[in-house]
Amino acid sequence: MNLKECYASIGADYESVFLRMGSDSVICKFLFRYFDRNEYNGLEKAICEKRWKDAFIYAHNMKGFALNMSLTRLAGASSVLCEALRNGQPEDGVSGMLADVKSAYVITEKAVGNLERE
Amino acid sequence: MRKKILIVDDVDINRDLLRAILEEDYTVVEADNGKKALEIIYSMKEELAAVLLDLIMPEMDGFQVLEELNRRREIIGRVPVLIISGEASVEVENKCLELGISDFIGKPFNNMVVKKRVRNVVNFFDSKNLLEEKVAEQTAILREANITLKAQAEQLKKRNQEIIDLLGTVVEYRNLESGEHIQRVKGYTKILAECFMREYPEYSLTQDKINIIVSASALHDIGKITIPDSILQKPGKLTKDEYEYMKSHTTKGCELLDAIKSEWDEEYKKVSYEIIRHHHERYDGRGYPDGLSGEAIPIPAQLVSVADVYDALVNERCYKDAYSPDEAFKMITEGQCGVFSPKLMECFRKVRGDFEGLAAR
Repeated sequence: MNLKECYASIGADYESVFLRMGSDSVICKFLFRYFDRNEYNGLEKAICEKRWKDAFIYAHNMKGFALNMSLTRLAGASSVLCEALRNGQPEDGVSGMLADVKSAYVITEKAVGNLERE
Repeated sequence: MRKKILIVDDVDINRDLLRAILEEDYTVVEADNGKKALEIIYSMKEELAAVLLDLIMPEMDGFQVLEELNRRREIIGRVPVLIISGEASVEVENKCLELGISDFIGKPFNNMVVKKRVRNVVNFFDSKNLLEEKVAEQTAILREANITLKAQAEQLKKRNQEIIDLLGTVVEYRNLESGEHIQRVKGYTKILAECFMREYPEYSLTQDKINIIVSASALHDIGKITIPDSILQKPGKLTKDEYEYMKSHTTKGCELLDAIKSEWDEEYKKVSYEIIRHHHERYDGRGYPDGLSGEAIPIPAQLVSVADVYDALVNERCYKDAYSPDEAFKMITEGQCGVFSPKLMECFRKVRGDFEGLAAR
């Protein structure tokens, strides 16, 4: 699967990321690096342990990366969670929001895993 | 030398994203939290061309970094800070701008746009810093020049004083007037002038001007060096011709002054000239050499004439005995020594005690 197909398969915005970053290889490099380290685990662990400030930073960083990479679904789900965690006291429904993030993360991770590595 | 850019972000991928954009043009330095960023900024401030700062970070966040930099205004004014953040609300952007940032770049960012906006800010600060350095340099030069000018003005003032002192010494050396007479006339002139300054501010006398008048009062009789001793020291009354000749000491004194070609401050020269020429003028126009009357007589001359007459009265001269201070006061205020300005007489009455104190020394 090439990058364009990968983005299409998860409803992400390839045109936008290509326009901003200018090269498939650069985009792929950062995608591989990000999903190789399983950032989601850190977020989930922080929420389970009620470390809300850490959880906010994880969610915030995930949102920033997803926005930059135009990973539309992951950016949307992590943004909702990020706002729920912003004030240090989580709003109701955090577990549902986390489930949405996980779903988007897993789908994206899988699609990136199917990308051809050079 | 390549310019240095500091990238501050807790996520290494984010730092690498920015590094990839900027390392073609700059040497990139990184910090993964606010505390490390401040250490680098403080140690490298002269070398840093810009700081790219994330807002949400553990340990010390971007807002805290900005607040700390604001406590040291010289840094935020010299090194531009650009925020790169996903916190793209108007409130956040506004808060950052109030804290002195140069630009706010939201996520997602376009690589080319980041590159250009960093370049613009760096160029702007380069010009601004260069201009400020030039202004500081010029200010230092001007300050230096001002110090030199002040020193020269002091030197000139000293030189003016030296000229007057030198001429005063000539008068004393010729034994025309005793040194004590000259010193006392200076003292009476000062007392009267300071009272006149207080009572009649409309005449715009200042302490500086008074100092010049007092110095120049030493020269009031300099013209007497041209008058022969046979007239000057004649014990009895002068003949009409002798008296006329004696009166010429006022105009001859001015000729002496004109002969001084040396650089001399105009004000010193003017005041000296007025005193030498007009210290025998009287308010009703019956004095000499020009018969000036009223306000036409320069104030310095009016002040010195009262001082001179008073001292002549209370001391013995070759042609007369000394009068008591009471008699002298009466003679002057009643117009027996010629008419003086009513305003001056008002002051003379007020400082009578001070005159008598000086006369008794």
